[in-house]
Amino acid sequence: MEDLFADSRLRKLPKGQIVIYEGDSVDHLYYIVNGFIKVYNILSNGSERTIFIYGPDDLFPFTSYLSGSGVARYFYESIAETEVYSISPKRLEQKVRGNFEIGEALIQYSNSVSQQFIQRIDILSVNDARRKIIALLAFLATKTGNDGDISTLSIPLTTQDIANMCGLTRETVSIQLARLRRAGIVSGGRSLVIDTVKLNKLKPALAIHT
Amino acid sequence: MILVMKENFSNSRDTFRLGRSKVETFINPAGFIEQWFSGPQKPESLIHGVEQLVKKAKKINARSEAVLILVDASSVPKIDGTGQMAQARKVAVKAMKSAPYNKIAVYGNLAVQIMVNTLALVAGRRDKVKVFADRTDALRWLKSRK
Repeated sequence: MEDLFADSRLRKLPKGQIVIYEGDSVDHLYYIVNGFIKVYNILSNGSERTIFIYGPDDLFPFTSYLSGSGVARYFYESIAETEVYSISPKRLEQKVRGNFEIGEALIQYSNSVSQQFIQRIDILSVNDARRKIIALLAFLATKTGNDGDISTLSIPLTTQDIANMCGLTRETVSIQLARLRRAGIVSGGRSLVIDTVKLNKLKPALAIHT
Repeated sequence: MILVMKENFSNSRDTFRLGRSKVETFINPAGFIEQWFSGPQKPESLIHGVEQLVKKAKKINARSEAVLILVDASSVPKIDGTGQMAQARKVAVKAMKSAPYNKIAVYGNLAVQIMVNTLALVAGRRDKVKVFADRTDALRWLKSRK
């Protein structure tokens, strides 16, 4: 997919830049070279709910662009210094037209992202705090961690960040993280270190499919 | 009398079943070609559905009438994005490019919308093929002059 953006402009986004606002019509599509973009909405009480995180080799907001409305359903914000290629939908259409292989790659990619989105939204709707946090850590280890049994997350996270990502209070997150630390599943400071082997053993019993 | 009418109606309706996949294609009373997909689709059911659409589109086009197509994919639970369906999607792209039609409106879940829109992108027909979340919006666009 990177080839689609080969002649596109490379943009550097500082940490904390909102690239797309909820309700914006999609006038650019982005490919992440490095860095991370969080996808979130704002609840009626003003709190933020992180739905998803895009990382290197991800394309956004592709699902919004190809949905019937063509309007962004969430906010998209860089959570680290991020480099992206951007392309206009018109240019993308020119590149995809007649190219069945690229079309297939896009279908398979968007299908996989949609499933991850659904899993995240499903987890956000459950009431079990432990399940929410374990599912989030598994998701973060996949998206932002290094490969291997012991995964260090690339994004520094505060307890409040994790609370926002799970829809929990900071206090609840602190209690659950302390338990996971005692079990040797989580260690480290703001850059969390996760023992993915131990974490994965917990997933089936909690019906987590991330 | 009612029985006879039912029979005539069913004669004009093509129904294809394979396991839990089902595709029905017919010309509705408003003159649109209507197609209903239900269940998880297989390559054979998708290809059959596309072939039926092309057949009926050619028939209507031969009468110099506008060819409007309404596809209900709202009962398709999920999209098979794997390579197994690639051949069927290729057939759909080819039909989007070459079949005689004025508009195609497809409604279904987000995964359906993304897949159909991507195929329309490859076919270069995003102006004539649109996706919607529900039937009302799909019909509204189909009946509009845009």
